[in-house]
Amino acid sequence: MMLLEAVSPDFLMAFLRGFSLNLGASVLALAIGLPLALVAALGMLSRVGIVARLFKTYNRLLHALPVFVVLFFLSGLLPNGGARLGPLAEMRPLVLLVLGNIPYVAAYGADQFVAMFRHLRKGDRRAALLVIPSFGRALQMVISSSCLGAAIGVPEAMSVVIFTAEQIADEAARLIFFVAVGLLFVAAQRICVIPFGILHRVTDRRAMSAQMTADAAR
Amino acid sequence: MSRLQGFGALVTLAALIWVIAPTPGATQSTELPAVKALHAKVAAGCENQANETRSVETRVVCDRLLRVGLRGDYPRFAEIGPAGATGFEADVAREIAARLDVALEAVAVTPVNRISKLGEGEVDLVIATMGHNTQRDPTVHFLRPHYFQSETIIVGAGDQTPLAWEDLEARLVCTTVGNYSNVILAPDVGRLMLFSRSQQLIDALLNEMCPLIAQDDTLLLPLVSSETEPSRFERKLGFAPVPWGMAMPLGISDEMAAAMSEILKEMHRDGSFLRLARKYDVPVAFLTEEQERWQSAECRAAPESCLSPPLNVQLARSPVAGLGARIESALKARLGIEVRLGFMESDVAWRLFLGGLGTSMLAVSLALMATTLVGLSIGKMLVSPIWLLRALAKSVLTVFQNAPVMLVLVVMGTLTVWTFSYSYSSAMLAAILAIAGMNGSFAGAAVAEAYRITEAREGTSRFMRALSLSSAQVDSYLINAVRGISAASVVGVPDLVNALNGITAFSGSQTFYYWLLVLFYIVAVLFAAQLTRRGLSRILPSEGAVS
Repeated sequence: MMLLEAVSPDFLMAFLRGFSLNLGASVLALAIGLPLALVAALGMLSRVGIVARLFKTYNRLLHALPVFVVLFFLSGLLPNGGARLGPLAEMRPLVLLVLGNIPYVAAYGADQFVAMFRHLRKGDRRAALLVIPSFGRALQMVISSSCLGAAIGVPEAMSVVIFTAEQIADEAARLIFFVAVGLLFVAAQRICVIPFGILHRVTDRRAMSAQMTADAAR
Repeated sequence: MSRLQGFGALVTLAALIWVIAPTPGATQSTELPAVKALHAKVAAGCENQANETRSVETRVVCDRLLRVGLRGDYPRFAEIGPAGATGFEADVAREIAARLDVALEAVAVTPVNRISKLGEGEVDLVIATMGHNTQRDPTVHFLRPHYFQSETIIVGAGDQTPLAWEDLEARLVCTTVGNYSNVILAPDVGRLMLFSRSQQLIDALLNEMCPLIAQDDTLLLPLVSSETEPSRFERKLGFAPVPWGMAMPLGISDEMAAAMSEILKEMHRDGSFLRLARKYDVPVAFLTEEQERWQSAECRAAPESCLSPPLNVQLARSPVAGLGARIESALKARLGIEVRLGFMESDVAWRLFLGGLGTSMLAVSLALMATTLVGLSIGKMLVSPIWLLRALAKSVLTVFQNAPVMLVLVVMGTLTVWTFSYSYSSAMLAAILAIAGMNGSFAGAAVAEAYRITEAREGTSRFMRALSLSSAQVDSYLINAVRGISAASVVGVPDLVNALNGITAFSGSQTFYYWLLVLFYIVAVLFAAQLTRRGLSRILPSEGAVS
């Protein structure tokens, strides 16, 4: 297959269909994982020693779970056509990607919330607001990790890319194809994190002016 | 009158020829001495034996009925429908019944119950796509010579691109769990993707999820051969041939065994097997060789020396097999937990496990070091007063932050193969570059973001203060690199994921191995976290000083 044949409208449509699965799963993983992360962060900052220790251990264990291994585990535990998923059986790829990424979101989010609360306690609001871009990065990381779904047979964007690349015999052409696909991913992900960037800038500007007003009053 | 007499003589002669000449598929039992001997021995006692105590040969000869277990759902080999049993094996069963001079009753069996149905006396003979191997050999009486031979084939897109066995070390191959041929495939393939059923495997090839699939050739035949149009797929490689054997229950008489064996030899010699194979379009290479072999003078003179042995699937024991067995029984006795430590049983599995463990530990250490290095470099470059360095860092950041880890891994894999040609070291280099590049970029960006909102204080540089401020994030990305390196198997690094996946492919116990993997990475990450936290707290100013 030639490069131009590979990057066809059919490929683009298949890629976009796959990417919508990556994005949907990532947003869902954040929506479910971040509230869990907030609870864990509050637990970790608890003044009751045993509660804090329990949540810290829980968070460490979550941190230690590699997304790739979790995805592999889940794909074995929830096989295609198995009965365990019940009514969600038809959405198996989405369920696998969401469940596979929740431990990462919950662990990373808890760390960021803890850092945010600590900065707030010290009165450094601007440092606390760094939590916003870090959630943007979390979204990017989850979209990125969800592409590991290609390794367990989830029909997301990367599996479309890998299969198409396999059809290109020339290695140089294959590399150019990867660069083109990389640009597609860059464009798609940049668009996805724009809201986080805007929100951070707006809130940081407000925090900065509030700090300047406070400094001037002193 | 003389004309009429001549015509009568011709008719008589024709009738004689019709009676004497062997017709294909018709009974030839009387011509085989072993079959005659069986009938002679059994027929005499037909009246005297009670139904419950009758042996297989008594049932077959006295009832004049052979109950044959056939697969009901195996295209080209045996399918049982309203019109009865059809396919290669079904016709072979008919031929055998005819040569035994008995009627045939087809009974549907599956790979799960075919041996138990023999043991329970529900069938007298099984002809059901059953490989004759050393593991099954003691459980039933396998009849030889074998009547077919299959092999595992690797099927891929029909692009005429040749595939050598050595090429597999850089490729993804999909297969089903529990195939005996996975023992051969697992150590040599870049990455295995496992499916539980063969239909899922075929679907994965059809919907372009798997570029290559490995499975028994008899199952994949319809994919690679089409009578009407050129097939989308082709056979790329074949390996691990396994002879197929018919089986009868253990303890059949010598006369029965000799009669059946004689029939099979005769069917090879006279080309009956070949004819039936061609009728159903199943591969004939093995049967052609067998016909030549059984027609040879050597095999006529000494048939026993021409019988092929079963496929040897007994794996060499590992040096820790005994320890594994003791752990298994201790876990069962003390905790009531039943686990099978398959990775400790055979030498091939143990070597795969040790190799994978060592590679994973090396990968974790390299990933930690490389991520720290990349993170500090990117952070320093992003806050550098030199425009060119900042621009360079930003472009690296854009690539690594936005491209998915899988794409970065695949691209790095392609680049390293291009530069160094494929080896496990180049695969490791690709994985480390990808994982450290991604996590290091994120860590560097976090440091640079912190740099913007901090200032230098007495005794502490602005960069170190930024590093301190972003230490939670830097720590997260270092840990993330340790976790992320588990995906190194995607580019063919023979790490623990790859090793355990390979072991699962031939020994089952999928869930147990995944728990083992999770445990390894939990320990690795906790260890790495401890290491990075201690390291960061030593080199960085305390948070009090920062705030």
